[in-house]
Amino acid sequence: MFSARQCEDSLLRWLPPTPGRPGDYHEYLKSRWRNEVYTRRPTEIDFERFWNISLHEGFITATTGFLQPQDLRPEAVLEAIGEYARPSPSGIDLVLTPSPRVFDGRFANNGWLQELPHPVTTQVWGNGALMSRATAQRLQCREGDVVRLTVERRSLKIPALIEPGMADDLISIDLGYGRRIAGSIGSSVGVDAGTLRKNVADLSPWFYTGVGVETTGESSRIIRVQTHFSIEGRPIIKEASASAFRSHPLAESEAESRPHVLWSYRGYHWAMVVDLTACTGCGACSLACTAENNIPVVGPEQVSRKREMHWMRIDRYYSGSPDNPSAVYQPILCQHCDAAPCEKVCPVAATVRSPEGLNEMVYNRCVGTRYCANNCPYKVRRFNFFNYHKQLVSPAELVYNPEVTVRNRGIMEKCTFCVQRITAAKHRAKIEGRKIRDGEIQTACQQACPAEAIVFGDLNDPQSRVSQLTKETRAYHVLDDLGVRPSVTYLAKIRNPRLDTVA
Amino acid sequence: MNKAADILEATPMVLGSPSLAQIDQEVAVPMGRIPGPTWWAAFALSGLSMLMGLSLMGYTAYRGIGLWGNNSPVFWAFPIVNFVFWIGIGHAGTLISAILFLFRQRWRNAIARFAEAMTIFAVMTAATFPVMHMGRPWLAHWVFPIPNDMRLWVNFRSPLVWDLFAISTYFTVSLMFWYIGLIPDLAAMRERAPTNAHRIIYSILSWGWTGLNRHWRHYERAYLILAGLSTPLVVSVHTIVSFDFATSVIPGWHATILPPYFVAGAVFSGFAMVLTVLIVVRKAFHMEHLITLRHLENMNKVVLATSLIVGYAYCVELFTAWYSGESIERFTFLNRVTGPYWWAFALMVLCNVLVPQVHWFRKARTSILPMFVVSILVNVGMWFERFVIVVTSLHRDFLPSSWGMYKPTLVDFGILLGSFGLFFTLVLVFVRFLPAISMTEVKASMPQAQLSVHPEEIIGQPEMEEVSV
Repeated sequence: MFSARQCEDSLLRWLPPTPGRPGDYHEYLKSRWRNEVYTRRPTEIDFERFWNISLHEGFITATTGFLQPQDLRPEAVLEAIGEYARPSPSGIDLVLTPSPRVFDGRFANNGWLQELPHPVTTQVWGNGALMSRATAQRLQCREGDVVRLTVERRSLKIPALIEPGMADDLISIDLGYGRRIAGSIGSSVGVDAGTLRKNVADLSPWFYTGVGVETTGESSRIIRVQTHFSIEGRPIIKEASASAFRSHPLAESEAESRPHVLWSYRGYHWAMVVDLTACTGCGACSLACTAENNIPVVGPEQVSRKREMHWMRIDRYYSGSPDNPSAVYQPILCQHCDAAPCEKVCPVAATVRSPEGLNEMVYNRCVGTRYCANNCPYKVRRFNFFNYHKQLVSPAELVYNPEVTVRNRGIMEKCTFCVQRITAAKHRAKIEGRKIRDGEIQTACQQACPAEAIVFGDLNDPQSRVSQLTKETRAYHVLDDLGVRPSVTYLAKIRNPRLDTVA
Repeated sequence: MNKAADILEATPMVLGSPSLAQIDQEVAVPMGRIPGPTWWAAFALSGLSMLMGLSLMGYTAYRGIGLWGNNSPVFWAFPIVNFVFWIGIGHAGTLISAILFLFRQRWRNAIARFAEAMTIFAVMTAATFPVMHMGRPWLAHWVFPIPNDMRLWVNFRSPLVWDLFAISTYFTVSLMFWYIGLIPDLAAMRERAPTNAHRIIYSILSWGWTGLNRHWRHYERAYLILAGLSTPLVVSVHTIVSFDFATSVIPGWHATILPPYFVAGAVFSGFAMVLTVLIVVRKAFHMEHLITLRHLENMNKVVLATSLIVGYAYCVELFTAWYSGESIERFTFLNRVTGPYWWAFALMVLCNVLVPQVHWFRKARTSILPMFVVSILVNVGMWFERFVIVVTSLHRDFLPSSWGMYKPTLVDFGILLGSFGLFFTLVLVFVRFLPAISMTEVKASMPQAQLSVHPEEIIGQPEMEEVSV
């Protein structure tokens, strides 16, 4: 961008010259691949093509010679575990795990990851001493109370984070937080549990027994984006065990009455299906949406005031006993309702229905009454309480997707079904004189979902995947009885707990 | 006819049988002199509050709504609560000046001017909120159906657009009604003007009124027509304000009882506010013989009656939620009573339903201190009623995943205080520059004005004889 020299080029230039070595790093890398990797190609293929395919796929198919298989010695494993079988004096064990968001801390300066809710706790911007309710009760601490953990002579002060379903007498802490110098975003976020670690030969640095725990009387802020974890018996999640589903498909017992349709869509009718059985709650969809749609990172202060901006969020509900609950994940985005409550209440008609079934938000027209967001039963609308984009220093504006408007302060925004991708596909199809093919448009969330839980397409095409899936017996709409006719269909969660297979 | 009216008005409406000239004299006193230190202190206090509120509104327009406690799911909070509160305050004025006029309740003559002025100031105060609570207040004119080259039209399905029409109509009619009523008094002020400047201003404002028979005829006609126009507005304005909530899908908002419940609440809070202010004004300007205990007692009766309606509405709301059998609806109301904002609900019931019950006792209705305390508490309770409706309904709606708590910021409180500052500044200015009591109407309700009956006949006779006629 600034005609600067790549680091590797510099290294090459500073090395003593060797005859035959290319001076350009790109050429140097390719020549190494030609000599060391290309020779192990399984099929006869031109090198340029081999190189391009490898780059594109991210891996190579090689014949032999990279890895040698090793035999596992079971007795060594047992020996290692034996060290931990000793009874723990304090009764509390500690597990240190890499963070599912910032990993070992290397991603700590990434605002998107800091603001991505933890898949289990929904915590953002930090970590905590994760413990069960029974353990918290025993230690007499509430969420946010700072506890002092002591491992041998190393100690750490960290707020308690109480989560149903944690094993009792176990504290788990995400690593990768509390970095002192991580950059403008990641410095001093959370607590560094790495200070409790010590490498002892033959012992895992990730697991400690006999951990001392005492409350300090201080308290600290735990920011969760979701604070209530029960569906309260509402028609939000449908789930069944595999055996129950086999004998009683949901469609028969819980068939939905589709309210009378007042109008139909000629042409396309965009819709989405989200499979709750496939969803693992990883949050990749949410991040992809953030990247695609220029969604601002608002920071811990704003999130603690419940002003996060994610268009796509993962709701997580528990059911069953708080000591051993089952969890279900539900990605929630704008449902693009056919009878949208938000559209009716906007005084300036800033949110309107498109002829293709999209609920469109006209940013220019929005005056910011926030009435639409109040009237949204799914609470998917996000309001720009401040100007979240004003601290842009060139060339930071280049990180934004040029296809998507960067929203100003004082206006509402929400999921668009990636309308920019729909438009691009329509342009392509028009040039080629055809209709859009099923699967041609992938929304950002769909594209990122590793479990392929999200399907997007045209509901007016009876052959499209989305049409087929909405006819499945598992299909249902969230809060269907409100009669708002969402365009997002969910597929019920079917569990196959181990008990079923054993029995 | 007159006999019947006399029975209803057995107690004299003006105490001490002053002459007609004395009435003019007494009403005009506050306008003729330099205000004393108490007025200046009150003016400084309310003026500073107003300036603080306006600065905070300006600061919000500069920085963003984020300065307040509003969040997701509580997208509406203090400003909308304040808006509904102030619109409600206005309703008593219209009820007193228009409906009681049409019902020939002549005791209202002494307080109508003041109550109507309060209506106008309350609507002005309320009207600041829908504008400043917008994310982009500089585009507020977009909610008006102004023809434009983009052919953009407002969304006539939105209750906010209905609000716009309801409130602007209300303000316009109230202002005209109030001003028409002022004209004879302004002419009287013109005649008493101490300086030329006063004379010129009052001359312009009184439109050359000379008290001709023709003037009076037009005046009475216009006053009657405007009273007729205002009367439906007493019901319609708060009905439409309640549509903001009633037509939504949110449990706790989506209820058919809201319109009558809002109207009753508005009259209730409005009368309480009129009482609060009048009790102070009549004392400060020594007008106890013009605004008598009888006026105050009548208003207390209205407070008691509307308190019962409001209390009934609370019960019906809870009953309907239970009777609907709808679990989310039931939860919302259970959450109102027992949830994290239970204290707001408790305060609302205490102030609006329990406290006004003291007005069953004549002693409380006719003693200044108890009625003053009750009127203040009713104002507090009615503010909390709107808080309960707006905030506790929103904070836990359909999806438990999006539930949250609302915490107001200092800016929210500052703007609330500023709205009281604005209102009381206008009231203080009003009592200094315009006759706070309608001289014309008070004189019309005095025995001397009842031409069919000789004055001595009324004043001299005991009550019971008249009742027996």
